[in-house]
Amino acid sequence: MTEVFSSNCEAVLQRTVGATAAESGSQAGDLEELYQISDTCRFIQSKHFKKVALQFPDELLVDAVAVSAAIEKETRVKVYILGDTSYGSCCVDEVAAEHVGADCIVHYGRSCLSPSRRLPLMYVFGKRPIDVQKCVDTFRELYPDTESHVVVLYDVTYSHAIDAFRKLLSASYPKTVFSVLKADHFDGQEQIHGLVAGDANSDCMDDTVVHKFGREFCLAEGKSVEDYSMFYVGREGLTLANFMMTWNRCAFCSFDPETSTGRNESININKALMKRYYAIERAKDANVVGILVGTLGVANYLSIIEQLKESIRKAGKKSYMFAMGKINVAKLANFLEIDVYVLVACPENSLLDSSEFYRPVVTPFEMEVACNKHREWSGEYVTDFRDLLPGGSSHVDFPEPDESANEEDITDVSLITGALRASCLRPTDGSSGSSSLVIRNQTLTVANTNTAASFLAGRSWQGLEPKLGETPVEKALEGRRGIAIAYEEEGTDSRDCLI
Amino acid sequence: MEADLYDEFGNYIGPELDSDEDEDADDDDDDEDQVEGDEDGGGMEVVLHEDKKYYPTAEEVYGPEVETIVQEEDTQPLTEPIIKPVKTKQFTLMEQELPATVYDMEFLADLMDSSELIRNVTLCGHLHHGKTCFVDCLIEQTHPEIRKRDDADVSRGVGIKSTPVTMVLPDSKGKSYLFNIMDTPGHVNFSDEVTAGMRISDGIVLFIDAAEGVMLNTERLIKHAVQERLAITICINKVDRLILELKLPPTDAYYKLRHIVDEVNGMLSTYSTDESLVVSPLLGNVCFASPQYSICFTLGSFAKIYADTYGDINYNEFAKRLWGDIYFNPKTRKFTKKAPNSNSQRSFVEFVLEPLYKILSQVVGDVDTSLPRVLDELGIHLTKEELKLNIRPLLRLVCNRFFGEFTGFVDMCVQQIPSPHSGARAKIEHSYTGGLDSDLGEAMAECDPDGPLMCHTTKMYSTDDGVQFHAFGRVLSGTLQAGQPVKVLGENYTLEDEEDSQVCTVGRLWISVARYQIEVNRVPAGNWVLIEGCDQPIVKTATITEPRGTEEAQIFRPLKFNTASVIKIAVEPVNPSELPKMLDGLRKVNKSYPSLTTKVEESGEHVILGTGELYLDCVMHDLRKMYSEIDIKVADPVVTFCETVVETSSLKCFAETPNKKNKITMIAEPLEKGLAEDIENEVVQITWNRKKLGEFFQTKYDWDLLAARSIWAFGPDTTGPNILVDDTLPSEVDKALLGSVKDSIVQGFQWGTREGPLCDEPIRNVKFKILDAVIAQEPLHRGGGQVIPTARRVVYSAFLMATPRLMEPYYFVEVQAPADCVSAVYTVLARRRGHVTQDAPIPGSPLYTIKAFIPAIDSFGFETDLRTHTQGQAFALSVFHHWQIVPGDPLDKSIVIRPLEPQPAPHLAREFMIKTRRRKGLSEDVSISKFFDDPMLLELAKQDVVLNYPM
Repeated sequence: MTEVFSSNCEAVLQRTVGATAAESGSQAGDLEELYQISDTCRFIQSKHFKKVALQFPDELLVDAVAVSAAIEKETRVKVYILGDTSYGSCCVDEVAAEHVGADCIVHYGRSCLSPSRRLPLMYVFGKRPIDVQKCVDTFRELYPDTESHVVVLYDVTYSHAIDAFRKLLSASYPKTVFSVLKADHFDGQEQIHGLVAGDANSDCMDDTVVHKFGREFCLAEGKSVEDYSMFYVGREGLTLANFMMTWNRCAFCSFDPETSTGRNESININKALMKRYYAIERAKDANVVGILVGTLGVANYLSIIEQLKESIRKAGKKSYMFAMGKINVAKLANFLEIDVYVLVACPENSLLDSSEFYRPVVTPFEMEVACNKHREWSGEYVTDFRDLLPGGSSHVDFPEPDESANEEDITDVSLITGALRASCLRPTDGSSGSSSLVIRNQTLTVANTNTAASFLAGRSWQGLEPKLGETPVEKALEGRRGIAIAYEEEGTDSRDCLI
Repeated sequence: MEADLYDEFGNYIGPELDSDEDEDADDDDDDEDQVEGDEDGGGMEVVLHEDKKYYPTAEEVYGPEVETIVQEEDTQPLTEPIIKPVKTKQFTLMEQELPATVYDMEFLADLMDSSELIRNVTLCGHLHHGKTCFVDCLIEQTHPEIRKRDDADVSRGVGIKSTPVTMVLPDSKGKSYLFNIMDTPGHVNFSDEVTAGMRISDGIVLFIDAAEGVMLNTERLIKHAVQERLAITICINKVDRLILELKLPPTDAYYKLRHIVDEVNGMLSTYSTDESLVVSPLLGNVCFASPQYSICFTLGSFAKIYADTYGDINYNEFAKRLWGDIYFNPKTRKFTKKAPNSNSQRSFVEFVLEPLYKILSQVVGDVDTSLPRVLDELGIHLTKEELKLNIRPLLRLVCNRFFGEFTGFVDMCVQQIPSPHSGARAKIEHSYTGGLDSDLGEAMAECDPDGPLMCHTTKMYSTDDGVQFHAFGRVLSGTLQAGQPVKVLGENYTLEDEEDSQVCTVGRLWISVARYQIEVNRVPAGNWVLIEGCDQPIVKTATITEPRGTEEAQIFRPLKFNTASVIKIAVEPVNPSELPKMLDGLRKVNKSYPSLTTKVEESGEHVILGTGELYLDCVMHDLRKMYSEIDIKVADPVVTFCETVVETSSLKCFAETPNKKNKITMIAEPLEKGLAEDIENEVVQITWNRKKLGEFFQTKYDWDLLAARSIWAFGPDTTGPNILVDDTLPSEVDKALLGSVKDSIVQGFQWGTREGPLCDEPIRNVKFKILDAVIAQEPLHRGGGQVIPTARRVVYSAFLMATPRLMEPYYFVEVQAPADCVSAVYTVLARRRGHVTQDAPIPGSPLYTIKAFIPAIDSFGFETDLRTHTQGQAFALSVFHHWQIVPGDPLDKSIVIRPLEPQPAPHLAREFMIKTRRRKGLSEDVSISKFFDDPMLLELAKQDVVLNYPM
């Protein structure tokens, strides 16, 4: 029976992690430079931290032992390694760090720079190789006009090379601006290390500074972001997709340092955006919404969950909450009663291509568009859910109930199935639906009609079978002692599965 | 003046003064107590320069009700008026007041109560066979003041919306009947309108052009009417064409007419199992007409003219001898079956056609000398002015006087088409989803005006300004009252799932008479009604019942169209911010066109699915002009595709669930020919019990007993053209365990068939067989999450192993062209991958009919192309016919698609697939490996299955 609840231990050991091992710099000489060990030690010592958590993504985990040993030797503090992050390794896993009571985190590898809340933090991005000269050549090829307005964005792992890139270009391209990495500050949070300290764009007017996704750049006066083209240094992936969705009116070009080739990305933006529109229509059709909590680290995630719950309720839908790490098809398909999922995660992980999923997975912004009548699909797209919160740049108030009273009459037809949308037909006050009593049978027993209960009754499998009355009653027995890897009475020989 | 409000220099430093408007408002209030105001005012304050008022405000000049707008310079183009005139949109011609009629409106309203005296009739027929013209004649006879129609349909030359007309018509004995007539469009693209009309009628009058004969749509309509179980009557129209245009001798004209009747009977016997379903002038269900010259007669009404003239003739008996091989022997004054001599004519020619020919030729030929004498003989008296009329009006006048009103038509409908009372049972049996044995069913079968209210609406008519919709339908039992609260049940309503229902209040009620409407306050069972106020919850059709007391009420079946919407256009507002307006417009056209589908595809495009080019043209007109008034971009039309297989899977395909505890094995193979259509037409239904279902497959498609009894599902839905069969053996597989995951596997199968692996288009004509299944013992390990995605994956891999192909819709085309144009028709067809199936002259006319098939995707612009090549002499109509496999392998990577070049036939499948994928924003090629497990791929390699597919 134990196997029912946990997967087979051998299978776990044989499972291959989907990471490319080639990215680590295992040679001892590189470690110091690649992982900025001396910088890290300085950071730890300057703040007198006692317990330090080092968070590694899967592909860098091979170096974790060496790095932690080096840091421990240097600083003589307690070092913990955090691996196998539940919600995408680009986010800072504060919950895991709090398990060991760490008082600061060092995050290694690629990062989405989503602001976290509590602990002092240092980013070590690592330095991926890049041919700066090739990159400059590509840039010149893609933008023959030296007067063109271009914003240069880049993957954090190439941030080390950007200064060189800037030096080579800024002379000939006066109108080109370079973004800098700069995370948001939050009250009660210590300085984040590894990013630009101080105000790099201090010479800019406040209103021309664009600050998004931990990037900051400053636009020329009288220009808006739409007037700029974007040049991205890095592989295509979630980061680029996120930028392209957010600034979907801009032309994008990218340079891939792995292959040292540049290309025009603009063609796919519109298609991708329209596909999200389909997701919104699916969300509008849904009656039961599952809120997937895909982060425990990004600041304000609790507020957005509350706001989502509220707007889903006001739109006459039901919501359930799921905390789920590493979302996959099989996990979500376990909940057949959910019509659509909304994923609360960092901006880069929010955009999930849900065509493989049994039910679509949408972003909080899409759910808002589907629920809030005041919000309209205009082509603007928000991946960062913090912008949706009150005070955020894209916040739209939910219509007051009394004002929407006459709008209630307008029925809506689903654009997917062509049927009437159920939410228009149902009275909006949820109380009347669930508390109505109906006669169950001739003997005048009354039963509460509940759609969720009737759905459950219709399922072929209704959960674990309690087999009430079938199992004989037994006296309480003394259980095992100890921890799961080695119970006291087990001894050493019984750990047969951990070869 | 208070000192502390001003500084030592007299500058005001006190609190801010009220703005001007407020003062004005105060002034108004103060007007009443002038005295006090005067005392206060006194004109003594210092008025600052900016507070001085030199001119009265606009409000003072024009009064408070007038809105005043001040426009800055250059903010608006000069061409645009600052204050726009109120625009009234009007898209249909409506009479403002009730026109004069030959009968009393009160009488009409009274007739509504006696359901025995009502006839609900749909007039249908091929394009340009004179339906609307016939209705015009009827209107002209009953509405002396209304003249010719001149609305949009006439300038367009084709009707696109069905028009309900209600009027009182007398039969040949002078008894009045209430006729509810639905005049339907004849163009095949609009067959959906006919379907909506037929649903609420008890019978049809099929119009056939005497010269053209039975055409494409005539045949389809016969088939459809048989399916809908309606009484069928025929009106052979435009008989004048035989005489004046084709100039056939009377005997040939008779042969031509008989040929038409025979053809119709041939079709009736093909489509119906009912032997007694025959049309013949002798049975009284065929009439002849020529509305242009106001001619309409049946054998009976023609015989009656003889009886009226000569008296003392039993015209009923006489009529029975006026058709067929019956001759009149003038010597014996008897009718015989054999011709008495070689040049004697059949009785129909002698007594019907020859007089008709004579009248026509007299009027056309010799007006001045002999006509007055002939007319005198016939007892028709014309004034001098009338005699000076042109030929056509004169002919019309003469025939009108001779034949009188269209009593023959009325006789035919009254005798052949059941009244709403007597036809109710058959109607309900066919259209109601519930049983007849309930009280409600009884009331409907009795057409009981005092029973519980049941009303079936099948169409939505927009008001003439296109803002609101009125539902049009038929009351089947009870009486609908104006202002009454009702419950509207939508198409998705069932007794188990009552979500799709809404209580609303009926507004006004009308009886619709084409161009005007008669407002009534109650409509009893058996009648047609136009309902205001409950259009909001209705999408296409609806069932209207009482809000309480009719809990067991079920819905009437949604319409079943005889055509499919396969042409697809994607629309998008030019200005993205106008999307809500466009959505509103889409919602409205969706209501207005019965078979239209508007939806958002996975690619995020708004697509409109319609039956053909003309149809979509009309939809776009309505969308742009009537319902949304915005600029809309339209993408090039495309068609819907299907995905299918042509062979059996080359090996058993299996997939393991992510937890490795379940394994499902399937193969795919093509379905038997005709089975897909049977499922779609609901000849066979999955809801049947196992035995009945099994018998159907055993007898009709030769399935073995085991397979026939273990059909699990159709997919993607209950009428989807794919089958999932459990072909496992009880000795090998634990059936109980497999049964426990049946739901999940079926869901995975339906999900998979909804969006195929090639280009996300539905799968068609494929049978999936479950060959083996290993299912975990513990319920936890075989949850939906594990099984559903895996079932879908195995459906895909089995599909891909069975030589997948694309399918495209094919049109059936009927072209009429003169002999010298026939070769040009062939050329045009060949250029569009079409092929001719039949090419024959139309008997008794110089035209040829060419029947052909053409792929729908190559049919865009076909009509125009055809006309260009034949100088406008050829006329084509095309309608969806079947699905056909696109030549070529869609997965053949060696094919390079070059842009802007026509592809050779074997490359077409790949071209269509790649272009569809591109449009939908999918990756360029199908990545097949993701549907196969690693062990499966090993197996493939082992078995050396040659895959030219990318892995």
